[in-house]
Amino acid sequence: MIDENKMYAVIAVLLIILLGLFVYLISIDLKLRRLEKRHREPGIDNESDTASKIKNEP
Amino acid sequence: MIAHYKWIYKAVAIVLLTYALLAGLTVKLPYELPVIYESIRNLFYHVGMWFTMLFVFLISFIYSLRHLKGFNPDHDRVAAQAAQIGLVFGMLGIFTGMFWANATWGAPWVRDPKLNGAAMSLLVYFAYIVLRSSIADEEKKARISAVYNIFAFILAIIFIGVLPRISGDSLHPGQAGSPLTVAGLDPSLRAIFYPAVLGWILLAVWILEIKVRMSRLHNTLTERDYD
Repeated sequence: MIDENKMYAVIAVLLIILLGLFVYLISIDLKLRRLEKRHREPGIDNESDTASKIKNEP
Repeated sequence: MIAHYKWIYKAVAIVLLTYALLAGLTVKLPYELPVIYESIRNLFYHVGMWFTMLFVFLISFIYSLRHLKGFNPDHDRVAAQAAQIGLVFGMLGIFTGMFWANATWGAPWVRDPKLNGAAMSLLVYFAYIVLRSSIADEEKKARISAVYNIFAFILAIIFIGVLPRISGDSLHPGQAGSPLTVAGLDPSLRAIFYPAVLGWILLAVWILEIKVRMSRLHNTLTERDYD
């Protein structure tokens, strides 16, 4: 099926789109990281993620 | 200093989803399914949307519970962002499902308890968003929406997981009246299905992490508690 009817072209296109979106997401993540560093608030652990936790409660 | 371990699950998400796309489109189907044919491959993508939606709704539920135990505004923040992302994946599930239903059942929307249950669940969560935006007082907003969110998750489970199974006439696999189940799936398809679902879930967690960090940063910059 893959060779017969040029299905590989579709798979390649989808793969490029998917990988392109991943690269975009990574660049957003990195940009956000730079902003976080610049505006680091005392008392908040900016390295903590959504799973582990926070202590910015008074 | 970048915490490298936090990139591990993101790399896993990329690898799993790339695998799901390549393997999912190229795997030779182990059997010829009547009516469904090649569209069974949608299993890796369409069904992944729903598993992911329920997973982030579960995160939202857990953080709402945590918010009610200690009233940490950051827990409410995670709950709110997770609910939003769940809605995005739910909408994707609905729209992809409409295409698949049109191809197999002959209409984009059929009389099926699973479809209506899914639509009801999305409405319940849209109401959560509306509820949040309608309360100005931040503390009140957080508490009331946390309580509502707990009901919302239980309702979603009932609408999607329970009612279609006891109604007895759902067209979806795994329900009464349909012979197909995930457990009865051919191992060659299951070997793609489970990694695909995990990949979608990790992708959603990644987006959630970014949105929560954005919201925290926004909070830091504006000195308000929420946005």
